[in-house]
Amino acid sequence: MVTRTPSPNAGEASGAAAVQPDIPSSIPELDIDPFSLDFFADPHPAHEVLREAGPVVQLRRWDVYAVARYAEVHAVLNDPATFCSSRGIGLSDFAKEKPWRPASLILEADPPAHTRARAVLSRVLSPAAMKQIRDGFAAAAEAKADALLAKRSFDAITELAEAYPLSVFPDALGLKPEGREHLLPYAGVVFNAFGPPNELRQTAIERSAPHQAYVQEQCQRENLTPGGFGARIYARADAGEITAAEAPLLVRALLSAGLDTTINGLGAAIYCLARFPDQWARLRSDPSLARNAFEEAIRFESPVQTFFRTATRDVDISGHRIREGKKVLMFLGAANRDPRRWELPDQYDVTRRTSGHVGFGSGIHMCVGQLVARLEGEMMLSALARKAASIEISEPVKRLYNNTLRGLDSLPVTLKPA
Amino acid sequence: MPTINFIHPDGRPDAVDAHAGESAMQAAARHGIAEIAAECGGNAMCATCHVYVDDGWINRLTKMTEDEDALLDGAAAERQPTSRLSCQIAIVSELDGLVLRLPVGGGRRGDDETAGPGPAAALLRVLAWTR
Repeated sequence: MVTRTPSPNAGEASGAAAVQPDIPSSIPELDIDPFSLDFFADPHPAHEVLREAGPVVQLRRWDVYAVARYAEVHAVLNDPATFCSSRGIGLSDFAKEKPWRPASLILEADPPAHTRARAVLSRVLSPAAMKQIRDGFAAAAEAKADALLAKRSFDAITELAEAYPLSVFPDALGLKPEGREHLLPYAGVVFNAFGPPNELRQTAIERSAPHQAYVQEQCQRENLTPGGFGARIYARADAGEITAAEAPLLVRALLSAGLDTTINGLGAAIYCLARFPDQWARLRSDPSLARNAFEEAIRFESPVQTFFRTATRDVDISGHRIREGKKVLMFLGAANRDPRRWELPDQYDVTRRTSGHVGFGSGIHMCVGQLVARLEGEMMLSALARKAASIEISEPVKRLYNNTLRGLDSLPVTLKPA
Repeated sequence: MPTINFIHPDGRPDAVDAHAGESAMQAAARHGIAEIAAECGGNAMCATCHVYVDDGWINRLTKMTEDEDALLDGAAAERQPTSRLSCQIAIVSELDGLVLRLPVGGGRRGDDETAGPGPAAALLRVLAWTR
């Protein structure tokens, strides 16, 4: 079902050099398992090992190549002809293995098919579309901040990072009220399924049937409210930009990727601001920094840690040969803290020039919902910065374990009103 | 090496050395021009590298794509006939002396009209781009 991308001319490969026959392959082999619970508990020391071992490494545990430096991650992301997505952006190779769900028309697709689907979602989630939802998202953030300040102590994951996006995004998408409890479990499955066949992935997929059934039904036209993002996707199908059969799969893309990502982004931002009081003070003194404080949290924590690509031909990355058909794992989180690219990379700095981070990816597959994420992050952080004097962690945090997402399961905090 | 003249909203000029082959946005980012937020990093997705091209130069740029046109409709600052996204302006030697005016409050949505040019720290931060 998945067609292979034809081999491009060598000249088309921007980041990767054309193959030269006599380059010796001395790619370091490492025993790090980036999908293990130990790794998830504290990935930063391992990220450093991965970055410093070489521009390309091999991971024995899963028999894949990996890149962890900014330059190589950026190059692979920006060469979709050589490093394709249509064979899956998880470990599973769709050329050899049936995907656990029908492949995504956008995430797991290459040009030219990808281009059409991408154009539809880009327009539905454009800067102009954000202007229309901005006031509503702002009002909801104000109300949420007021309610949390009245409560003082709460779990910033469930009651803030989850509650705020859940109060605005499903409505913006046009979902019916019933069944929304499936949204987060479904997204959890999607992001676990990009990982290797470990317990996290297997368990998630085994339990996915009811969530998949909900999503499939919710993606149908008659179940989407007029005026929402979902209905706008169907309008593009009516205009002939995509087929009627493709529309539900594009709605599914927003259902899959539109919540867990912003939730972990917002959770990352609150976790950063609670850990680094000087940065909270800086934001308090100038709440217009809210948008950048969110962006810097995306760089610093990288809620989406990794994605794979598949080599469509033999190719050299920084002098190291990658064979056709091999999976290449990109460590977005490691690239976002590569000292070759970032000054003081391990510091969270709300005034940092964050442009160029790969927390949302880069190139043709860069997160199509990034404007929604930034809008939610800006609105919520701005409201808190104006209304709260301090935010403190009140009990030990609990980490979330997912093959792709980095975040917390629980973040108990106490707010003091300004 | 072509020079780009960025004009801040208060009229202050900032002459920036650009490399042929990079975008005007990348040149601005390398020199810490704070009004060019470039949130999406040059992927033509966010409209936060919005500039007004000086009248004398607007017809010397390559024509904008439909995508850029649609993005400019959502720019934070008012769209004008000379509006462009600086990430879509490829620098060539013929553009030596190009004049680009920066919108009030910067291209970034989060900076409202009263926010000014942004924190001094960001202005001073000059990051070397890896590539």
